[in-house]
Amino acid sequence: MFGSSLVIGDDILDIGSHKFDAGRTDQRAIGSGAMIPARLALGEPGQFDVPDVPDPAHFCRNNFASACGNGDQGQSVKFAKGTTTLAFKFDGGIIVSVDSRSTMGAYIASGTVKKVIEINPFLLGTMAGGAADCSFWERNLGTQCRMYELRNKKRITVAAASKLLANTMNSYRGYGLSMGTMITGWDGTGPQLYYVDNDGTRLHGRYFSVGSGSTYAYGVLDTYYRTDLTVDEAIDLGKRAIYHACHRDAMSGSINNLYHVTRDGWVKIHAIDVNDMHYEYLEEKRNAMASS
Amino acid sequence: MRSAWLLPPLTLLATAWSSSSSSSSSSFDPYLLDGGLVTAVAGRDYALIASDTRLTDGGYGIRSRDHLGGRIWSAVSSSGCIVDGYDDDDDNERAIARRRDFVPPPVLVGSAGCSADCESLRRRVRLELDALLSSSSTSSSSSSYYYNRHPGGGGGGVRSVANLLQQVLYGRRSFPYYSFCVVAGLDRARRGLGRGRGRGGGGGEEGAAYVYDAIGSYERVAVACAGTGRELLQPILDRSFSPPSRPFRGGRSPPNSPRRRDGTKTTTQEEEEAAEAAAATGDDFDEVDDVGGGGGRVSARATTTTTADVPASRQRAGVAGGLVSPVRTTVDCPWEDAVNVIARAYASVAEREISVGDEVVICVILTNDAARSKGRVSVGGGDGDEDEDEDDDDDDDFGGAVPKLTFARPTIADPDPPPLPNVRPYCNKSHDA
Repeated sequence: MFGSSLVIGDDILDIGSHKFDAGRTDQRAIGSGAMIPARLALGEPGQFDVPDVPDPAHFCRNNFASACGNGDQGQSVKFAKGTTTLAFKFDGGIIVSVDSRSTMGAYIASGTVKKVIEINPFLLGTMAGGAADCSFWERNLGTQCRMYELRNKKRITVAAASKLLANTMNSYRGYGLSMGTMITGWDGTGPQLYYVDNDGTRLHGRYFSVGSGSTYAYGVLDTYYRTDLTVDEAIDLGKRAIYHACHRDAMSGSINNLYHVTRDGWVKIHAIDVNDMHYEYLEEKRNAMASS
Repeated sequence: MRSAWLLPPLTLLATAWSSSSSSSSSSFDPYLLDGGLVTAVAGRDYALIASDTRLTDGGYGIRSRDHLGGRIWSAVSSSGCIVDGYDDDDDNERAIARRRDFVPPPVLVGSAGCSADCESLRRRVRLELDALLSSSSTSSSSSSYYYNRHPGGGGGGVRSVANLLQQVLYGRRSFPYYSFCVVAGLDRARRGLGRGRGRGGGGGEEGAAYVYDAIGSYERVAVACAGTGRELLQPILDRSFSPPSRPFRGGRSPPNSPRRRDGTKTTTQEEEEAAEAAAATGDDFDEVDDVGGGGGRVSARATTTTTADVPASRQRAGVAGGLVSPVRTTVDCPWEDAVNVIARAYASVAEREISVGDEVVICVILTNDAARSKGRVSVGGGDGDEDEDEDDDDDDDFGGAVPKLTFARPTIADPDPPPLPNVRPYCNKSHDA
């Protein structure tokens, strides 16, 4: 049924006479109609199978991309995506504010997605784009950060962590991965914020917003952002920006999760349904009109 | 850093592809969506998985009416969990899965989409788990790395399988398994111990359910479904299992009436909200079981309205179990109600979706406490001394941590329930290779 004996791993089956030869796989398979199963991953994928076409990158990009909006309309397989996330740096630290909706085509797959990933107690990563791509690669980043800590006996800097992720993305460039993430944290140099995306882009900045609703969030952020915000003002800004994005972008919505990164690590501030925010701001507007 | 991409020889499909190599809108179409709708529900003391059994040919033909091989499967093949059933009970019992005692608790996976991919995924996951379990068991005892058996519940059993499934699915990121999965199993309870609250409070285990997309993005939820017809079924489940924590039985107003867009509330709404606020007690909260001390209470409802409701001071880096998603991860209703709701929901979906129908198979994994207390649930007004046969003597040997996989034995609340799909015992004549 499976053409050959299962290859569990070089170190287990190798008795010194034959090294596992990648070339042998091709020979055995062509013309035999057998499908060689991937090397046993034992919990972690080793290598990624690609379809047997002349240009696998082009192929994957066109058929298995988790593109935002309607980019994957022609595909038969749609993946979960869509979002608004934002993060900004101010004197009191960093605010990270995200929504929690994930869509597959027009279907809302979930309203409770965790789009902030705790890489370690001092590093947060956000998730925008393909849900599986983000959660997989950021978890992988967490592994690498931990290995760094074990090897070097100190915590990894935000710059280094974002670089690791950007390098990974670079190596899979063109294959249709979709990931726009912000890596933030407080390290020896203070609060830092980097934007990393699936093209291998890595940018250092004071504030970013990523996702299908990011343009709406930028409108609010650009208008009200200052570095000397107080913590409460900053929380309010993060909350409002997400609210406005969710109000106008159908791919974003549900719950706003907001985090504050400080010198001592990250703290979760709130998880509020954006629908409730709508009525809260309506009240506010009404009060403002009444008093003026 | 993974930078090597293998080109595996997928010769089964080579002929179809080689002719049109470059165009993306080409004849590449390796997936045959043969339907299937799977559901997972996590309760306070049970976990449940359900599936229909129809297999189509991708269009409007039916290839099988009792297909279950790739739909519901146990993650670990060596536990001997084979879903089958036989007619040893009365006709009015919906005997679907044969009752077994499982140590360790089984983790069931339901997968729908392309049945070939589902079966392939099943083999792959079982292979991985068997390899891991056999490589890590050191002594003759049957306890293994993934399935710890100390009292108070299992170790990372279902969580480990859930993560493994993500890794397996993502490993095929560039040529996915078209298999939308749900996973159900028993997990160590996150509640504070000793907070006995009726059906599930005292035990150390609660249900856990996870839902996936085709490339491995997953999330722990209370109720989720996947497969064809999901858009029809999920709203029914959302409504039926939403707080207040009883399934919607009709005759009661729905819990969340829509507000007017301008923000004003109707008088009935205001009354309702006042009543809800008055009635709101600690029962709605899932207490976080925090090993390091300083457990946080987080509102389990997704509609927290003010920052004061969420004790942010309890959620920070470094506090064990500190960050809790503000989402219910279990439903409050007893498993009999859940089975009822699901059977009826599937009947509704089958009316409107051609690839869903025939039979519904519902597998319920109970913690031992739930199984014991099942005898005291009154069936049509009984007084609690029936069904004592559920308490086997075997239970005592294991210190109360034996879960049971049992068939659905629901209580019919309404005197004239609507007709259910024709449910008969499923007989599994085939075995895995």
